[in-house]
Amino acid sequence: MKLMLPDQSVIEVSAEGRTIETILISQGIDPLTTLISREDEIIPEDTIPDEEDVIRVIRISHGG
Amino acid sequence: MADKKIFCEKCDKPAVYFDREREIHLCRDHLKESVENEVRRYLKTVRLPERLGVAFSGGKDSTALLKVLSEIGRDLPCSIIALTVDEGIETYRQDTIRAAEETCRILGVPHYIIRFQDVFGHSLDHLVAGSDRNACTICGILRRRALEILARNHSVRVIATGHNQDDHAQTALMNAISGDVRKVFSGMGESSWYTRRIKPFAGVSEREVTLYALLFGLFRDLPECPYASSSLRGEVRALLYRYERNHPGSMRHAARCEEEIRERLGRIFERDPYQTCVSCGWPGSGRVCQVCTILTNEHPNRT
Repeated sequence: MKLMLPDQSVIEVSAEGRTIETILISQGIDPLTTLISREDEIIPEDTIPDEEDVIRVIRISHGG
Repeated sequence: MADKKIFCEKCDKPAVYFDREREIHLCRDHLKESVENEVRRYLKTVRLPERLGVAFSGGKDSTALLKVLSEIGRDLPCSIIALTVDEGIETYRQDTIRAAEETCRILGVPHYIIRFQDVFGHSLDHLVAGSDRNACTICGILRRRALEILARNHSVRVIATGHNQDDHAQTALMNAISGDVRKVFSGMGESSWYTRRIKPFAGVSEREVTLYALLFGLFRDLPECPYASSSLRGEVRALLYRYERNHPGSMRHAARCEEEIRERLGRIFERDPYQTCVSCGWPGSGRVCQVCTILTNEHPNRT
């Protein structure tokens, strides 16, 4: 699956039946600082994505 | 592998939000309902004026607040106006001011703007240029005064701010870490001088607030303030998010804990009385108020 990060970069990760929350944590991203969308629809972070999915990570909280 | 789509606990629509503390999923309609009901619940606990000012920066929190108040407006005994302070931050504030104007136009809410340049004679950029003072400290003090003047100009005696539950939890923990008990009780009680502040999102998380704005098409990923520092609040935020993830409800408990301390001890905590500033006549904590101290320090020749 593809993970589209807030800085617009895209990384390829293997879903392996994990939730998006688990995948984000493995990438060093706190899921509580984000919202997640797939095909322009917001989905909960405990969704288990398909390997073909493109998941967009929306940052909700700035530093500072 | 088949996708496991998740549905709302209250209906059969796709879920957009997972409430970790209650362990339930909500669709967009039930998330909106949940946020609006929490704001309604809060507003029943405060005395509302005929005209309520909303401190409106154009960011996601105040945008969501303005939208919620517009949505539940018919249940409220007051009219709403939006109040924006333009601090004068080049390359940043223009975008957020534009977003604020656009949102007010869409929602049909009267919108008033006050500029640092007009009130203090200088933009924030000018005041912090070459200064080693913390820009956020200067901005916070001057913004409070500017907002107060704008509110008075429009007969507003109560201002609603977009502070959410996460903000409250962070502040509570920061107050505990700094050990300054006065901060816990600052702004409490009635004042004949200062406009009363209310925080309708006190029980709504930052994610819910952001999602609410996003679901209404009002979320804009605006640039970060160039002066934002990532010191103590950033560390506290990261810590609280980790606790919330491992122990759902931690954020709410931290916010609620300080609020309960304020409610129970606020009346018996002895606060220092206001003094009248010898320079501008506004009330403050010393002989010269913080606003005049800033303006004098930055511009020693000012009379």
